[in-house]
Amino acid sequence: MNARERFEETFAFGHPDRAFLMPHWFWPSAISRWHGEGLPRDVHIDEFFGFDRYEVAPINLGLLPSFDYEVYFENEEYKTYRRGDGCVAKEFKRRPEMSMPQWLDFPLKTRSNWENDFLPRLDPQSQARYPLWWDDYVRWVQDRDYPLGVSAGSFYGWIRNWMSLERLSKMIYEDPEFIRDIANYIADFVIGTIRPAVEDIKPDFALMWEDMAMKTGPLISPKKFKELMIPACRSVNDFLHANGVDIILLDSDGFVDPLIPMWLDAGVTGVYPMEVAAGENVAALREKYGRKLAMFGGVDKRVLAGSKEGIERHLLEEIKLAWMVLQGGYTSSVDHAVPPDVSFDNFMFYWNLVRKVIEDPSRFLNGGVKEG
Amino acid sequence: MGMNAREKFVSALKFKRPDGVPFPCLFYGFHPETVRRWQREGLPRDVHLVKHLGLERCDLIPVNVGPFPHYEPAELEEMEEWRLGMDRSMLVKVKEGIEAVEERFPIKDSASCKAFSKMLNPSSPARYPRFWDDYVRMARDRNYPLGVYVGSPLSWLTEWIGLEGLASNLENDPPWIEGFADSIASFVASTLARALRDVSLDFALFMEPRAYRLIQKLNGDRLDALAKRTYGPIASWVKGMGVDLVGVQASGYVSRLLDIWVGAGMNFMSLEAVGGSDVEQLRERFANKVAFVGNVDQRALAWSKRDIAEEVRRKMTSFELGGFIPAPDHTIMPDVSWENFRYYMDLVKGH
Repeated sequence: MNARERFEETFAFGHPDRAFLMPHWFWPSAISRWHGEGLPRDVHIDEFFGFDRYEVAPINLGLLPSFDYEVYFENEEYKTYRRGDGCVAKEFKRRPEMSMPQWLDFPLKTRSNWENDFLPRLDPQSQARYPLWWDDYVRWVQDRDYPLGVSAGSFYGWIRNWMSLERLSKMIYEDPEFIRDIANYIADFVIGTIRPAVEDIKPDFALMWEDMAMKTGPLISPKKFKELMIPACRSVNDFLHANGVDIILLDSDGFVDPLIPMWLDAGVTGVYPMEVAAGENVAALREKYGRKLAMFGGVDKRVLAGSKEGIERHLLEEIKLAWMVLQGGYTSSVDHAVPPDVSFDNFMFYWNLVRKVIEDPSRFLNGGVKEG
Repeated sequence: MGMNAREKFVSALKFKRPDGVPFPCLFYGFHPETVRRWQREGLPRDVHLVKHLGLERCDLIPVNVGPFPHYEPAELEEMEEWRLGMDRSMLVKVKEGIEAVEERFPIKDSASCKAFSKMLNPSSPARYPRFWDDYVRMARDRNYPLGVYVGSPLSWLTEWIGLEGLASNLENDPPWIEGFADSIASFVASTLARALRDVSLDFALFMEPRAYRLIQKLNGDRLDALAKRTYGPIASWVKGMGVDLVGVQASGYVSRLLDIWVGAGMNFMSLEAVGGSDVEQLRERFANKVAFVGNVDQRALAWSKRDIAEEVRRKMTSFELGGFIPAPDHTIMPDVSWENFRYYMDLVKGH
């Protein structure tokens, strides 16, 4: 099977020759650490680990043009600046990836600045949303042997990023129609933007992004989410399904259990990365949702920084990797970017074990084989 | 049906008659500040500038020919006035990020040369895109010119050894510098062998942004010898692999190098008119042996429309004679207005 067929068989609960080996996401500082621990510096990381090929069409669904980058203040330690998404952030200058920025201001405050500052930047017809030589790209991907996806937007996450969690949380009650209008516009914008791509390249899957939950649950009342944002999400999914895109995967950190039934009802078919620190467990979700919910992720990044015995126990017993792989609709990956406290040796142990389980899951059922 | 971008580019450089002016985007560069100025003056902010201007696709294959893997860039020391930082290949002392005022180079002698040469391993897997076979498939039936970057021999020597170091080592210990120059040529050929076997390319391009600095520093014989050891083997190998068009893109006043380049087998050049390399004079010097790309004095684009029209008139006369693709001879700087640049493009397109 090629990677394209394997991806479809994996996430549509079919019969892959083996589960798809999903590319992982690494902190740059983890890679720097690993260069000192044996990872060659002149290789393609994805190739080195043997991840299957997986790509997303380079279509720009962001604010276009972006807001002007502007530095308001800087000293040796930090800078305060306006980002391309209009947010004003205060950020450490050295190793900014090691900490969250402090958010000082957000660009979306009122209906009038939605109309003046955002609608002109969310024009599906903007030429530069598509790559420069799109026709060549289409020709290139026509007979591909790997899965190619398309981004399909965000109905809570984008609005929260533009507006701030606090303002959005209040606005949901003070002016729900405004929020509904934004979500509906986003749906029209996403469909309008990706329609030529969907027709030209026949994507194998679509990706949505929300990051809309914290450790204990969603950042919005599920009732309000269903009322204000799910209709928009559904209309994009209806468009995708009607055009043959039947694998729709949604990315959200945090404890997302209360949201899953709504997403499934709206046409989403899978969720990732299933954050263990927030209480997610892929095996438990599989018990609950069966073949209705595809997933990838669910491997606790914190466990990878511990002992090899712990890694093995986590994979084989806690998330029941072999059983999950045999069930289908799942493949292993870490529940966020792999952080720099994970050694190269540990990551190799984790990944080699995953590959062995994926090659022959039945051998690892019921604790049949121990690697440690 | 008219010629596509590939056919126009190749026929112009082979002294045949394209059915229109080629606009190869590879030879157009825009300073970011210029683009910001133009956006203030009416350029839409949600378009691809290249497409908006009607430029045509012209690419280099994505094979990494250069030191790899790089050193990790690092800030070594920062004081109020000075910043000491290591970039990807050398140690640089920078004054408040404006310009390098003192440089220490990674190659000082044969021992450091040996250490540096570890970054010139042609077999490093990531020199090629991960899915090279797929790229080859895409490049096969293209309708745009596709070339290969074949290195910057003299600029590399300047960057890696430094002008002073190069000059003194050539006096005191020529064998290891010459040996290193030979190894550069074989490194380029070994790195690119797979690419040239797999893809039928339209052109090969040396880039020499700093070669002009060597002209003042090295005596003629030394310069000739160094150039022959590098350009000669690379250019003849590339031609032997079926790439007929071999050119060089260079900055500054490089008149002294032109004969060396032609002698090494190069048959097109992209030179700065401002560096004393006006295409009209060069055409006389090299008859029809060398074609040219660029050479439109980008300074004229900042002046009056009459100046622009005069520069276009001169360059389009050369275009009519064949073996020349007009394009700005340098990155377009922010003193060129959007109106002026559009005027220039309209004149060339309307020719």
